[in-house]
Amino acid sequence: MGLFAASLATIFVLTTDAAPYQNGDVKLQSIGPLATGPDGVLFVSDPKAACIIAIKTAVKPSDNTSGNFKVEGLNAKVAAVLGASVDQVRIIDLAVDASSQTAYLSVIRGQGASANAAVVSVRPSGEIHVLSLKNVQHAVAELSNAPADQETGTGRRRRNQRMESITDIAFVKGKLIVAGLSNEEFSSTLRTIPFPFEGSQKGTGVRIFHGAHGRYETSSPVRTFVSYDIGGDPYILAAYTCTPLVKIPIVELKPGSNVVGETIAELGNRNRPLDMIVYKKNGKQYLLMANSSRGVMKITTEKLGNYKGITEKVSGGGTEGVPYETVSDWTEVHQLAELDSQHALVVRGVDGDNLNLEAVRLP
Amino acid sequence: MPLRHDFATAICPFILVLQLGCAKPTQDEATETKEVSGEIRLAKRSAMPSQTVFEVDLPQALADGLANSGVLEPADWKKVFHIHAETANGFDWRELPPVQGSYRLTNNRLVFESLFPLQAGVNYHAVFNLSKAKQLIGGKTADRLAEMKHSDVIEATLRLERPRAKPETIVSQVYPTANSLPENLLKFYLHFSAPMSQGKVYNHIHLLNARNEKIDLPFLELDEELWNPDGTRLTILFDPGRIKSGLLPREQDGPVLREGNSYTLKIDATWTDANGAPLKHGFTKFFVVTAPDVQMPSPAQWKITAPDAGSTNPLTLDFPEPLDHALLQRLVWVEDAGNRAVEGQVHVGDDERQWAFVLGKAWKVGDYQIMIGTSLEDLAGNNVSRPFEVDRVQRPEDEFIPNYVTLDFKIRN
Repeated sequence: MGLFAASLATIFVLTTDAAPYQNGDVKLQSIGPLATGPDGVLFVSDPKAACIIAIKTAVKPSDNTSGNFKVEGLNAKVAAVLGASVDQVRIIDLAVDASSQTAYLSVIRGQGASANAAVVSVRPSGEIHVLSLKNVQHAVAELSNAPADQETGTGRRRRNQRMESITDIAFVKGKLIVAGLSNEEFSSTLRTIPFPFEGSQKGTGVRIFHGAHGRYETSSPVRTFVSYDIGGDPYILAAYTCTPLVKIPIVELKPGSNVVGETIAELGNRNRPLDMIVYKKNGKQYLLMANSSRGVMKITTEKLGNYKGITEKVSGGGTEGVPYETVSDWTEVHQLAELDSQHALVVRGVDGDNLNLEAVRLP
Repeated sequence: MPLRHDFATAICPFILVLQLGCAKPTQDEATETKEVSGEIRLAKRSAMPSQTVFEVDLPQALADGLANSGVLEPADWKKVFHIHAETANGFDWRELPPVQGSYRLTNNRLVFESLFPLQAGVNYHAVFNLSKAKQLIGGKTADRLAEMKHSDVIEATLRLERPRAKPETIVSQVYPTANSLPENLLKFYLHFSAPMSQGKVYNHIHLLNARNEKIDLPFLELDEELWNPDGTRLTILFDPGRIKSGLLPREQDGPVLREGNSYTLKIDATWTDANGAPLKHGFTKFFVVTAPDVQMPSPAQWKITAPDAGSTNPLTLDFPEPLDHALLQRLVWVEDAGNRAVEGQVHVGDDERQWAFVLGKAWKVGDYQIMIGTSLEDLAGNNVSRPFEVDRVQRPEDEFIPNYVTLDFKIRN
């Protein structure tokens, strides 16, 4: 609660883009996924505090589009800056501010009660810095509790053990979309939070379901998602933890509603979706998905709009649905972010060993 | 913790010069360390005993020169005094960027404080560079310093001793506790006696078949490990793609658990707690698998045993099947006739087939109700409002689902 205590002593200021930022210290209780927004805004998720913090970073526009961005031994170097051994440092997520060509990493240093959460910035030159959270312009959106959770925290019960992990966040057309997964009930919520955050705005959840073959419907936690336009309408392409890739119209994400994602591809077993980006090349748009077993999958999205969802069982092994190709030379990719129109920035390497941050040409 | 003197120090001739500086302990930096002018050393901050800082004594002329140099940026200080952590095998510390932190000059002492507390057991290489310091101050002071004979660089390797971590932490319980579990079991809760290390939990958790062979990828391996806030409880989900009907993972590999077979959940003793000590011992849970459970828990079938007025006996609810241990504690509670929550202690027992509520004082006559959050699940993820899988052919539309259902009871004389 340090974050909110700190906020009491802050002054509200209106910046040119009318975001009600406050100046003050940000104290993270924990850290999860990151996302970048317009004008150098960095969204930092804090699952333990159940909030998203928008931090106004000092943007220095860069015209570096050469894709010249490579940091070998990323985890060792981040550990060095944090003054810790590499085994005590976990890189949680990668986000890129394309205009300043700055990569941001959410990082946890240490274990247990003495663990520290940090945002680390990496520049194309390889400079690595911990982002200062002292006296920064920031705004906070608290995440509402799950349904039927209001009886906790009254003091009469032992401390609430429920915690909602944040599996992904993205800024889409003026809204922050947050995917969460509870450590107790098996449910998935997607929250949409207008940005700039409005006063007491709480991200109200939409329950997400998966309809298997038009018949069986289950709760379905979202592992990772990306936004994409189909015929001018914004959609989310989401990878569920149970592996189907689904599309969900953003317009359906209304507080309190139940949404069933339409399956457009089944990825099959031993297949953990890790991260996704959408990009354009030669007038066409593509989806790239990093994936625990298949390397990086490239999916042509031009037919997604009229693609008929999978309503029959997939048989004979393999995948079905939207056709895809595997990008064979992108191996061991854990994190993906779009760097510029020609390049993606990836965190890659054999898990636990030497991780590199590098720009790779979009396929 | 006082400074440990077990660190290696490399003392250069520059010490002679540094000794010219008169090192007085400041209010900010309590030097619990032995005063050795000219060394780079570790000291604890009196204002924040958990924070250890690096200090180097400066000759008076240099300290004065730096103090009069105006506002120096961290980048300037970093050229003069930089600390590198030995973070990983395979990397020379000189190839790694320095530890980030802040600098201050207090009297004749240059102090570096790292952004995060130093990690015990890690070697820190501290380098003080006099010629860079002279470049910062320039002018006559630098000239005067230049006349002194000394080495330009002083280095030290410093380390906080790591307290010996004794294996004391244990797996205190795994829920569900029953040894007979449904084929579509959705999760385990692993409880530990102390906070655990996070980040690679799936390396330490195994599911073995009856032949003691490891089953490949039985659990949903989420990077966002599902811990409780203090890191003493981990939720492990079975791969839902192998539970749900008709999905490719299940079509390809079948369900993880099969009715009639037996399994062992195994937790390795090598898993370290948050202090870096391995578990005191490993943990195994043997269980046999029964038919899939596709029925929703039905509060109408629960047996309420209400105590008499004046009694301090618990109020109990008995279920025909085990329910989710965590949710039973959060989503079931008691309200009085005025819809006020009644304070008390919840105990879950009988392999999670019983919920007991201890008031801690005598019950009073009156009408009460047990509130049940409809998100309450059984072991297969069927909750009070809907089954884990809704068959749209059998059950076309959900009715309105309230957040709560209630069970009424009376306390009588």
